[in-house]
Amino acid sequence: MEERIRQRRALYTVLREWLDEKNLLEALQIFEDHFQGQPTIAVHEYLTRIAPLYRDRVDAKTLRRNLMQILVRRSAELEPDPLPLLQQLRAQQSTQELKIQGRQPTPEQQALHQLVSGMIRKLSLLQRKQLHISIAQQLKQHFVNGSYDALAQYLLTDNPLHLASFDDRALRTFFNLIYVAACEVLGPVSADRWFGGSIAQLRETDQVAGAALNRYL
Amino acid sequence: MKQLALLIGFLLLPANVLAADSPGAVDAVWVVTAAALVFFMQAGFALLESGMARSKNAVNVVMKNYMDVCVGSLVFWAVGFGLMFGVNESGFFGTTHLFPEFDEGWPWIFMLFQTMFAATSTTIASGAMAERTRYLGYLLGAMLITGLVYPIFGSWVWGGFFGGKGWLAELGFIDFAGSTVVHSVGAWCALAGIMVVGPRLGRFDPVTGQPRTIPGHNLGMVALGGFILWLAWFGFNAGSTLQANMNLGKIALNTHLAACAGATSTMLLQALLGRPVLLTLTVNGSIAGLVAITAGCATMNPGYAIVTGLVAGIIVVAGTRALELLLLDDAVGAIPVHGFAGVWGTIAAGLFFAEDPFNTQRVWVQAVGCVACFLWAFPLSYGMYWLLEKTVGLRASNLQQQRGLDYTEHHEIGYPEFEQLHLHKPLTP
Repeated sequence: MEERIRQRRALYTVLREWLDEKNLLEALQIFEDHFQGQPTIAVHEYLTRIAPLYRDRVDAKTLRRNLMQILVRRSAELEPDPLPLLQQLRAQQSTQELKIQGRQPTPEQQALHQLVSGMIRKLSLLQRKQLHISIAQQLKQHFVNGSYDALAQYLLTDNPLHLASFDDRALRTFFNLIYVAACEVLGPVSADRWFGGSIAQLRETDQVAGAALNRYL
Repeated sequence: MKQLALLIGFLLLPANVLAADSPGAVDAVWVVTAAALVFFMQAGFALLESGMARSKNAVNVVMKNYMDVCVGSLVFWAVGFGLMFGVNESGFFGTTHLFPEFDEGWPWIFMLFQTMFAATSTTIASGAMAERTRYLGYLLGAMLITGLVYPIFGSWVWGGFFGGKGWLAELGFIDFAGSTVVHSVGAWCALAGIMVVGPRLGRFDPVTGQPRTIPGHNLGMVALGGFILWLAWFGFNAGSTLQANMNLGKIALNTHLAACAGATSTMLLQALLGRPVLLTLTVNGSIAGLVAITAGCATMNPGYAIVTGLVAGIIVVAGTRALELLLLDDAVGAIPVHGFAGVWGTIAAGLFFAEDPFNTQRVWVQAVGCVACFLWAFPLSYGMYWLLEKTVGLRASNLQQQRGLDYTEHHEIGYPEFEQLHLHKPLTP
């Protein structure tokens, strides 16, 4: 228990130099949810995961080095435990989640769902599994915490409600990440055919949805 | 009618009248015609590279070919020519004739011919880096290659047109029409470019590293491009005599035989290895033969020209595979064709030198020239492309690659009527 608190304080100490309060708490929350209790080496993966929060502000190598130095400092040199701040954030998020549940996807988001859902169904089980793994890796690099979880949930449950809280830009990125993952799993030629064919098919069968889809391409 | 009579009269002139010791009108006509043929290589490259790219990037590849000759020629006129051919006291670069002006006609003709060579060297990188390179970054790179990388190395071998001599020329380095000076320089720049820009999305399996073939969209264009390059190469090699003389026949014949041998050995090797005989690789084999014979086309006999071409064809097959094993994505095979075959051709020029074949001293000098070329062109262009990536951006984003560079860079589609890949928003009229 002592070690967990110490890790949290060390992270809080080093990350506050680079991140604003909002991003800092989000980064700490990711650590608490996914990396707490793991060996110190997992910190590397953690920093990769939260890269979108600090990108353009700091060199990842510098951040890693600083973190390693601070992890071995004496307890008195660390910032106080940020647990109360994290608990406060969680309380805010649960209120927000209740609001999101009441939100409905727009016709454009429905069109995107129609396309993605149809595309995924065309794949074999093995391909679907490989694609999910690859997309998860891509999502980690571009979305953090809540957004990442929501999109991962969307792919697993095939429920368009999860798309409702995203704007066009985020969904365009999401769609592109599926394309990148498809290129890696299926190969670029098959990925082009898969995407091109599915979009053409949707445009033919449902013109309104086909037109609505344009904003994500 | 009068013009036709003059033309017939000109063609009926005896050969000894055509051959002159100092540049005359006939030499001028020949070199300008050869320069036009070398310019025609750009059409060959455009067709070949565009045909090997996917349809969503076809316009982008052609635009890069079209514009690199334009910006490259302007830069070469302004600074490249002076650096390459200006008075070269140090042996390392020319120091005069920047923004050149001449009183006589011959230097203009020479400059025209050399400008076409510079454009050829520059355009090699466009194919290798195709389908994932931003247009602006590429063009800035092309300007730096034509203005700095190519002319400085060129001055080491061909420099001193207005006085002095390059240090490699002093050593006795032979590169008649530019296997190393033009093609290897271009290929090493291309190698640096593909290392900085990275492979196309999905080119290699992320788990096993196995290469995935990304077929071109129009193989007819590839073959036509190959034929055009072959035709233009007669101007490239035979034009390098800078004289209309009796050597032209042997040079042109060597050029042709090496190309034939290159294609034949590539085809046979594919068949012997039990692989499908691919058109793209076979065309590359013929071009490798052309690249390889470029250095020694004037100094070796036709039998050796065939050997040079045969080996070049084998090098292309092996070189293409070697790049794949190193996870380097050369979209059109430019590096094996222009780089590896260029090195072989340069060595072969020393090895099969007609007056004194198999002279190890000469081969050693040739090897020194090849190494010097790599050590100059590769690190410099790597640094240049790295800087471009960090500043203006060189690699196209994933979204741009999804949509295709025709749409994202030019807002034009190569095949609007036949488009099957709906990977971007429709173009608004």
